[in-house]
Parts: sequence; C-alpha cells; structure tokens
Amino acid sequence: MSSLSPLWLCAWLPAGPLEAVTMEQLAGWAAGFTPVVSIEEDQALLLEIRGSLQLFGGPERIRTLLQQGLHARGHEPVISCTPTVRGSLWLARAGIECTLLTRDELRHRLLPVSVEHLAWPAATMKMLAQMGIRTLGECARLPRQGFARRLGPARLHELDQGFGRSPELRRPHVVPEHFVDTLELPVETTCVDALLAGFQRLLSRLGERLKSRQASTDTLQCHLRHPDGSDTELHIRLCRPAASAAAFTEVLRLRLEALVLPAPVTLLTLKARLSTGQEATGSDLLGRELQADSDLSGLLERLRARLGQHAVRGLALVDEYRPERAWRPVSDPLGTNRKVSRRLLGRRPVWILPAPQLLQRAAGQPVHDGALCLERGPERIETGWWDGDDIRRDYYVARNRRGARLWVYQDLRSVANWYLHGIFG
Amino acid sequence: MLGGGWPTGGLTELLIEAGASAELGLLSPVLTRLTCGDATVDPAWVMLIAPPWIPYAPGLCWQGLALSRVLVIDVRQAADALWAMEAALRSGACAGIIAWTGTAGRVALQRLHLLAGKRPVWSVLIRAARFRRERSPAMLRLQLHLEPGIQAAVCVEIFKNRLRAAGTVRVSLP
Repeated sequence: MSSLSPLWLCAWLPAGPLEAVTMEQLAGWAAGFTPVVSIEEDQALLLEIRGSLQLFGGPERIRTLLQQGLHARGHEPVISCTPTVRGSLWLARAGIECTLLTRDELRHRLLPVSVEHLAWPAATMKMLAQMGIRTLGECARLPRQGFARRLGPARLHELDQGFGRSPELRRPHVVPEHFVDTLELPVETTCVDALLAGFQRLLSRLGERLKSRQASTDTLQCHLRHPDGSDTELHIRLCRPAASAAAFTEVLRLRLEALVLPAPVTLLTLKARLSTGQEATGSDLLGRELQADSDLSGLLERLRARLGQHAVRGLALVDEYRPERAWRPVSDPLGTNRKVSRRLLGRRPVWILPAPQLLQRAAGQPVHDGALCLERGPERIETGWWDGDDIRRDYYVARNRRGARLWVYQDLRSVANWYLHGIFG
Repeated sequence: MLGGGWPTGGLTELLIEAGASAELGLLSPVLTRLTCGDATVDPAWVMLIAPPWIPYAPGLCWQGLALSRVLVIDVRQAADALWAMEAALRSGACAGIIAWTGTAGRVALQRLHLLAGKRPVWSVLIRAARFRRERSPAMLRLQLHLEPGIQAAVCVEIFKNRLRAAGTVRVSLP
C-alpha cells in the first residue's frame, strides 16, 4: 500500500439524517483534521486523512479525537476507516467500527456485510433478494457481465469502487475561512495611486494566503479609515472565484477612481472570505468554453466596477399572465444553466415600458404620435384576482402615424382608459 | 444588397428616427442565430448596451432569441455606452454587441471601429438620424425608415457600404 493512496474515514451518524446546517457545522469543525471533508446524505462525514496521519499520530488517534469531538457535540458516531469511500461508508452503516489499511483487509471485512447497507433502490434490493444474494461477498462473486446487465453498470461500478477496484473521488465540502489584514499609510492621502499601491500590498498578502491554502475568493471588502475614525467601505464581488489577487487589481482601480472620499485616508483594511476545495482556474475538456466564459466574467466585472452592481443583468421569463410580471432580471447571468421556460402566450413586443403610459384620446380613440390604427386584437388579459393585484385589459397591436407598431391596451376595470405598454420592432 | 448578411469585423451604424422605431425587430434574426447557434457555430453571448426601454423577455423569446445568452447593460451617461462597447469589443467574449448611443466623438468611433476590425464580432451602433451628416468611420452605415403605408415592413437605406454597393432594401418584419 503506497503512502499516497487515500485513506477514508467515515463517521456515520445513525441518528440522522441531520439538518444540512448541522452537517455543515460538523464539516467545518472536521476540516481541522484534513482539508478534504465531504458530507454524505446529511448523515455521514467523509474525511480523507492520508495527509494528516503524521500530524495527528496515526489513524487511531484521529478516530479518537473525532469520536470525542462528536460526542461532545451530542452525536454518537460509528467510525470506520478504510482505503475506499464506499468501503468505509458500508462498514459504518453496518455498525462495524474498524481501521483497515489495505484493500485485502477491506475485502475480507466487506464479504460478510449484508447488502442492505448498500442503500440501493428498493427495486434493486428486491431483485437481489430474488437471486438469493444476501451479502456483499455473494454480490461480488456474481459474473460481472450478468450483474451489469441485470442491475445496471452503475451498481457494478459502485461495487468496484467499494472494493477498491476503481477509484472514487469526493468533492470536498467548501469550508469558509476569512482573511483580514490592515496597512497603516505613511501619510494621510486621497491619491488613488497611493491608495491602490497600499491595497496592492494587502492583495499580495492575500494572494500568498490563497496560494498556501489552495483557496480562492470572490468577495473583497475594502475599508478606508479616515482620521476621525470613520470608514469608507468598498465591496467588490467577482463573477467567479479567483485564486490570485491580481484578478482584483484592475477592478479595484476602477472602483477607487470612481470613489469620492469625504476625508483623507490613514489606514487600509482588506477582508476576504476564502473558499477551499474549489478549483478556481484551470481547464478541462471544455477548456474553450471555460476560456470564453472567463473572458466574459472578467468583462462583466469591469462593467460592474464602473457602472454599478445592478447595471449588468440577464433576462428570464416568468410564468405569469400579467405582462409586467412575465419577465425578471437575472443578476448572475453566468450562473448555472437556468431552466428556460418556453410557455409563450402569444405575440409580444421586444420592448416594454417601465410603467404603462396613459394615452391621450381624440374622438374616443387613443392617440400617440397621431391617431393610432388598431391592427390586431383584442387579446383579453384578465388575471391576478387571487393576490388583489388583478388586471382586466384588452391588448392591441397598434400602428401610429409614422408607422411604428405599439402594444397598447384598454383598461376595462376603470373608465376604459388607453395605455401604451410596449413597442414592437 | 448586404450580400446575404450583416458584416462582422467592423462597425455598423444604424440610424433611426426619434421615438419608437423597429431596429430591434430588424436585428433580431441575427441575434437569434447568434444566441441559438446552428450546425456550424456554437451559441454565443450578445450584449445590449444602453437600450432605450426595457428589453422585454417574452418578446425577445417570441422572436426566437435564447434569453440565457442575452446580457443587458444599463448606463448612466452617454459616454458610458461607448466605454462599455469598447470593453466588450476588447474582451472578445460577445459575438454580438448592440449599443444605443447619442453623440460620439470621432476619436471614440474610430477606436471602436479599429477594435471591431480585430475580431469577428457583429457590432452595431444605434444612433439618431440627425447624426447622418456627421462623418463616421463605420464600414456600413444604414438608415431605417418606417413605412406607414405598408404593414410589417421597413425600408433600410444603405448609404455607406465599404464592401458592396449602396442602395435601399425593403425588409419585412415578422
């Protein structure tokens, strides 16, 4: 067994599943043993402890500390430690506490374990029962091809992972950590270059910290202390976590240039929330797409830094009949693929006014840039009675004297007033 | 007249009359193709800078655009629209950039045009018709005329075209 192969410790909490918040707190605490902690089904903590053995003095020592710590927090864990994620999990679920350092030991220990601890779906379990399979050992002896065909290749893969025949990786739980540092300025100043130079020193310290912790951050808080003790604050948020402080420099410069300082600055403070376990940069098979999106996130950061946080947005549909509520701005347009609602109600204009605009009338007909010619309609929209914000409108496509096409409606609830609501084209 | 499409790699300037016009309807087939992609190109991002009203998601969707690829940028000052367009052109992250802007200095336009020439980006400046008299480095300059008499059609007058001849085309809108 090489000293680099992983060793997984599973602390199973039979009383669970617990609340996600509780599990996150426990994971945060367990991160004191190893940076690689993950939460399994809100009922178990998985720790990869190979790298921590020397520091803590062996697996038994870590097990004891973990057990004591969990006891002190009111939990009764079953702890197993083996070379595979699933092996540790299955043994712990079966109530078997042990420390096994090799795959052979693990294999022998797994053979008599009941298949019920695999936590496979009921249908699969029923099929196993029909086949007369009760233990992992019997499971593992089945012909592989037949097993994959009858129970699915995913199950075979899980079994292989449990016995250590194929590797399994877990995404570590992200544990928040904070960086706070201050710098006293040699002279009071309002000069942007001097302030930026000061922040750059703080940023380079942050960069060292990010590197040493293999962490990234997406939020900076900059405090500029004035002689009277008051602070001017700047909050900078990147679209994507950055693993180097350089990503912040340009954005910070733009923000400082736009900042109006009420007084000179004597002291700078930089705060950041670090996240570990998240690869901030790098590429994979989709390297090209990542590259394009990182260019875009950089662009959006520059735009936000100059134009304001809310100046940049995406658009999304909302399932709602009231036209003014049938859309919403998206503050994080690069966020994970949004579900796209495709329910369309009919012809809609490409522009909508911030609020419907009351139209003048001439001889009972609506007027906007000359008399309006109603080309298409009415489309009755009558809805919203359940939340008290109900509407009852007849919408028309109208054309004005210049030839522009407008979306207008007649409000049927009040005195039949006409409103301009949108513009086609 | 446009040789079957809008040019990339240079600035296009589209002039419109004041008030409600039809520029977005005219441009939306291209926006649809860019945001949805097709057999030869992947879906790409488009950016609408300083639009005069709120781009209405159900309407853009009706035109066929993929909303998840549309970015809207609001600005406070006219100069910010040009700055945002320049930033977008520099980054190369968007395949289509449309900016509504008023007065633009010749130097700023020249810079945009040079930047637009460096990448295959479809970049369109929408400006008021009164800027037609000003000189502009754009490689394609058009003016959109609404047609009060004809249903669902606009007239596009091409008065400067570096690539092909100038002239007027009638375009029907959906």
